[in-house]
Amino acid sequence: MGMKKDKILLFLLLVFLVNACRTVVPRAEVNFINSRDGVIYVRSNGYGTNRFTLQDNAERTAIEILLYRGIPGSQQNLPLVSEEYQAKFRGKPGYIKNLLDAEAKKYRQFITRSEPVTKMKSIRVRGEGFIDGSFKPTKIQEFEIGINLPSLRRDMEANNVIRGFGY
Amino acid sequence: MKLFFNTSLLFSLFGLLLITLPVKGQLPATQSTQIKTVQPKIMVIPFAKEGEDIRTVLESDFNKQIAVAKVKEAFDGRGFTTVDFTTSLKRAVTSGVFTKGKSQTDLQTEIAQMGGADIFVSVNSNVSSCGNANIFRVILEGNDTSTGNSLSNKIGDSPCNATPDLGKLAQKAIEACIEDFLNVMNRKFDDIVQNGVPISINVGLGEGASISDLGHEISQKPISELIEEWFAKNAYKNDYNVAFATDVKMLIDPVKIPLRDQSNQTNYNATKFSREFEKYLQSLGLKTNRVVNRNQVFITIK
Repeated sequence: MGMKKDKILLFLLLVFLVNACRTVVPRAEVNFINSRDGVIYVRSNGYGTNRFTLQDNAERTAIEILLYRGIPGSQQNLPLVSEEYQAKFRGKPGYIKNLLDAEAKKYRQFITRSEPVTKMKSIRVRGEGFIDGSFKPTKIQEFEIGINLPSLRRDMEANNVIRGFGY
Repeated sequence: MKLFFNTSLLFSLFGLLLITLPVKGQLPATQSTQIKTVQPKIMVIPFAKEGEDIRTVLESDFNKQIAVAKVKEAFDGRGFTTVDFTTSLKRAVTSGVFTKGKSQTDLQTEIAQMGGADIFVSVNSNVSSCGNANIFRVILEGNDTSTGNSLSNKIGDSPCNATPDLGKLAQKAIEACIEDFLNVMNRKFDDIVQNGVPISINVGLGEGASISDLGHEISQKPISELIEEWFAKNAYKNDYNVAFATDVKMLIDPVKIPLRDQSNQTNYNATKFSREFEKYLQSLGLKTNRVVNRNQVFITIK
């Protein structure tokens, strides 16, 4: 009986240890919540090492997904930036690079709301910039982000990144 | 003698200048170096069944008016001006009053009196119950009037709500789908900007035409073949389709033409393109009549 109890406790400890530090591959996770007066509200996961980098990452990710993938369920479920433009300019100097620049943070001009909705959690992450087989501890936190889509669209039209409505 | 010739030459040159100036010169009042692409005319209308009058449908239901207004507001939000159905109808009726008494029953007059737009956006709405509350459901359909091509289609539902204010529900239903509707339509416009505007060209034989059928040979080739060869050569990016060809009629639908004249980047349209086609038919020794209604062209061989 004693042995059986020990085995159960050992098993539970094992389960606890395995789940305490999950290894996740960082991926963009942006989910649509609702929209009001043109503003799109999404839940976005931010990855970082402190509350500032977590928030920046969540906001940048939300904008990036909106630009390159669209947000299913929202009024912009198609990418805001055409595939043609992406093929020509993605990663190159230009409007999008300036918009998403981590230092200039121009994308913040189009963020109307940025509130954490979960607590910070520690995770072990394998991702870009890491040597295969090595892990760097980091944190994850979910944020509710509001994006002013009409304003972003108008700015992109003014900078000839996207065409206005019509011919 | 030398002086006489020099003076004559001078006068001739001056005369030539006077003749050419009014032809090539632009009106000073309209001079501009910018060229603005002509936009399609889009009209938002309520859905009407066969036999129903659109104006009656619109005026009999205030909630439908709200739905139509909300759609027009969304176009305005994108910086695009739509054409109001009721105002266009009044204009058409007014033109009818001014030409009343004059006998104009040919196709051109009928087409002018129809008014209309390049693209119709139809708003079909319905209220259904969900328990003790209501859902306002809309179907938005955007179609090209000349080719019948579908440009965008969306269904939008309001939340299930017990409010007696159906107008509010109508607005919610439109808000649920209109941005996506406009995005899809604009994607189709991207295709038009890159690959050309689809137009249709109907070629037919008029009564008492100089030829018996389109199989009549000129330079050892049937006219129908010559016509197809012309479109193969002149359709933008060689994009054309012969929908059908009979002895007396031929329909090329669609044939793509660019938005801008590729030689000088000025606006290009079905009228200019069909004029070139008409000139080609005339060069074959055929007499023709041409009617253009937006992107539909009717060529009659006389």
